[in-house]
Amino acid sequence: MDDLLHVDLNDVRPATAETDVLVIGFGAAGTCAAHAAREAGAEVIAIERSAGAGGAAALAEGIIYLGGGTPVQQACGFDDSVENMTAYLMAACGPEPDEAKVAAYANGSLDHFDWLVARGVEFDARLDIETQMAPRDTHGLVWSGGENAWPFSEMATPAPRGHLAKTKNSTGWLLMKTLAEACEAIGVETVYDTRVTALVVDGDRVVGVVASSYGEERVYLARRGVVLTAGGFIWNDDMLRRHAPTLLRGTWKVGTEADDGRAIEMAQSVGARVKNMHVGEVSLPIIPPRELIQGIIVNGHGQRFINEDTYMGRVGQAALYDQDATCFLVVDEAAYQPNWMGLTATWVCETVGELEFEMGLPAGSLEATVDLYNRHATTHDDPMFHKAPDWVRPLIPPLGAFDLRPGVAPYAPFTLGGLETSVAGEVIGLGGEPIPGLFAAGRTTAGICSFGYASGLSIGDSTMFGRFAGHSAAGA
Amino acid sequence: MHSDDSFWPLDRSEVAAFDDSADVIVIGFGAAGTSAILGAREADPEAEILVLESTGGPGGAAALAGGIIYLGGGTAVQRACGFEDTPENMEAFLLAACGPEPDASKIASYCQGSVEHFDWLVAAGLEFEHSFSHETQMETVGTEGLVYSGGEDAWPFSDIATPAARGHLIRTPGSTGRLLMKTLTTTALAAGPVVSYDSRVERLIVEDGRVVGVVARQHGVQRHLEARRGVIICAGGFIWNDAMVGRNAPVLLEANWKVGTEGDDGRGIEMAQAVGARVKQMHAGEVAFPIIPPRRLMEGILINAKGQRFINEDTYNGRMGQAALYDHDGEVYLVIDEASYEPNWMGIQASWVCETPAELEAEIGLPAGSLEATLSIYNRHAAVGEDPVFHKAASLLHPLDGHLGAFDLRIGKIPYAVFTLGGLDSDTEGRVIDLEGSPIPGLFAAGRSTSGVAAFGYASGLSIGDSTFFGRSAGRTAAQR
Repeated sequence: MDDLLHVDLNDVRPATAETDVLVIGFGAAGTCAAHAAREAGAEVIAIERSAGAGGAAALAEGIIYLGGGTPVQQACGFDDSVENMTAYLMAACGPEPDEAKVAAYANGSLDHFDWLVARGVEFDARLDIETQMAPRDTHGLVWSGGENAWPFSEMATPAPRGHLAKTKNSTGWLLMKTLAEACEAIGVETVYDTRVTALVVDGDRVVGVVASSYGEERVYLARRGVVLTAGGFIWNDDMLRRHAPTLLRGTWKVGTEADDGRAIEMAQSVGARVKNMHVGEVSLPIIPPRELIQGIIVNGHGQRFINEDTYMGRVGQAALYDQDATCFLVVDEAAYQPNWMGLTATWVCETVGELEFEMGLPAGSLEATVDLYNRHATTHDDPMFHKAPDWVRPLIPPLGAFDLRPGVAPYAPFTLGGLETSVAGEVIGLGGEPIPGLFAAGRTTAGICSFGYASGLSIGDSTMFGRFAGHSAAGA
Repeated sequence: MHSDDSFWPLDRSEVAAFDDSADVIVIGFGAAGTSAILGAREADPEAEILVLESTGGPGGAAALAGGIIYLGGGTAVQRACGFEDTPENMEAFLLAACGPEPDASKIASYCQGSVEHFDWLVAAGLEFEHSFSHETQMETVGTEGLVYSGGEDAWPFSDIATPAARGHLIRTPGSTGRLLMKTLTTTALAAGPVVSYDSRVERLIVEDGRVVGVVARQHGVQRHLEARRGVIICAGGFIWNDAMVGRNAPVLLEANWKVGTEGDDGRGIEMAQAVGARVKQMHAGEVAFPIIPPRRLMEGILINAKGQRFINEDTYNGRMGQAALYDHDGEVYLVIDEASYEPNWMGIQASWVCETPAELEAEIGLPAGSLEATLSIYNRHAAVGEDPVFHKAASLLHPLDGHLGAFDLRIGKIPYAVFTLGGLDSDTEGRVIDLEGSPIPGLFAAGRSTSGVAAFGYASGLSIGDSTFFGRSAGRTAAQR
């Protein structure tokens, strides 16, 4: 039975336990689904394959993408609204983002902020403008999606929306600790070190799971619903080869070995449909320091391809998907600093011609790019890629270049494609109808991003739609 | 529980009695379907074969196509035209050109069997003229039987494998797909299948994990049809299903032309998924982008909305189309000088003609100085017959000067003609693979219902090529007793 993705109720041994709602995976989406189901009055068992709560989110920076005028945004002096946040997300999360999910997400964002606070998540209402990731100090707000950079700065009033729980550096562990404790406090039962291998079906309805714990096969049955919150598939190279081969070129994987795609395939085996399976977030952490934005990012042809002041994840996606994973950051002395990870310039030369030669770029290619850039930069213009005037000035040799190719720089992808779900968290079948008894959230699903991403959207949509899925599974 | 439009399989126990039966049921009577019929007949001269075609006649998308068949390894046509090719050389090209992560086992099988497949097609009635045209990557104006159809003679493939033309065309002027399919259909019909047109397959019928039949609607009547040995899905891709394209390959929605028929609605793929089949490369699409002939236009430079070059202009048009649509938002232009100018074969002409690069970039609306910068580096190297940036062949390089013109190649100004390359995961024998990695008993597939030789990168002729090749395999496997 080991490789079966679903089994019939008639073919399973007596249940180890029966409850109202089963939650599979106890990370960002799972904790919130379990909490919501329990609050709605259901008995809940959460099954987690590792030894503790937290999932990929506990290892992450911990940014939560929230807006529409949260207290943190207001305290930091930013006006934001549901409409403004919607306009940004529709532009940034496409092509063809899930409009219903974007609308629900923007509409529910303030309420979701309050919900997190009520569960014990604290935010330090200060903005750190230096980073798009977790601040070194306890600042609770960052720009995490290029909202203040072209083209989004022209489409919506710029507002930072990357919220972080109050602790220094990476905050994901604290967020997850808080959410797991909130679950424990209201009586969510947890089962650790137990790997779910198959769904149990009764006719057309999903009624439980088969799991394995230290070699022992167990059966858990759910009277009301099973919620799949078991992560994406970045840890499954075969699935990546079939669906998102570009991501195999990444050098890191963001997630845990639990992100093996099994939950997605279990659901597919009972007729679930998937979407955007080729898509991945690709973080390419160049800044801080922000001074580096004064440089230019070029591809293997010595050409610029993006405004350097946008979100680093957009740079990473463009580099990996469109530029053959070949890119470099060229800076002059005034802009140069080692980056936060200790990356330093690989080449430093007196002239642009020497630099392009050292970098192995075609003769004259970087010269042509720097000449054109400098011509407009004297008037702080960037008609090519619209970098903000504050960052645009001529680059004066000597110049240095950071090697940002995979292996030298980290390309850290995770998958954004997955099960198609409704806003309520129902898993949609091939015919377009919900599959009875089956719900999902987090990276097991395709969330609000069809391709474009902003830091914090994964924990953001995992936690919000996790709540909705748990609530729906409880039948509330 | 499920609506009538459900993709869910019907259990055999819910079928009181079959209305009809056959050994093998073939769904779809296009390139893959005809070959599946012939393959089934080869495997068993006595096999009863039933073909269900959703439209009123045979041919499928292939009948509307240029009709190139990608074959190599040393076919009679290649040899007569002076091309030396081997299965290994062909394999080296396809592994490089059909990625990322192409299906290596399908490519190996396709290359090893290619000469034999050519001979098989000839035996099936196809005639090929032993002549080569270098002027086009599509069907020829005349009756020439061979063209370069995948950029084999252009960088980087020319460095990876010995260039050999592999786009085979049957002997007829212009589009050859119609005659190709008429011939194959006639041969397939002579093999004695029962063919039912206007028969739309709605669901598969399963029994204990095996596909044992289909539910089809014929002239408004629902019928339950038994397949004693196997069902072969040759029902096309999903380019005609906007919702499915939106979920899997949204960038293709931006294109303005669909290659295929209404039958390419993805239903064959989803019916198989409903019995546990897995899919792959669902985001991939071929993007035909018919700039040449004339070949002389390759002497110009292809630029994006930033005035930057992005590809060697002498490669396969379809590679340019994929790059233009997937990586450059379908906003590209071809800049030429007087020496390289000629209206293209579709009658497309330069939209702008100016005396200087600065005027031209202003007219097009490119950032000031961008085209000037691109031209200055291009011309500097072209003067000495080099293109270190994108490696266009020396014979097509000359500095662009004097009056300059630009073709507007944005979406809508010219056709971006797309079809889907993703689909069911199948093995080289045509068996459909399930989510657990095992073949689904009784279920086979070929053609654009499957992900074939091309994972993403494409060459013209690979679709009819792998449809006929693996269609035949699927037929043989399915008909085995």
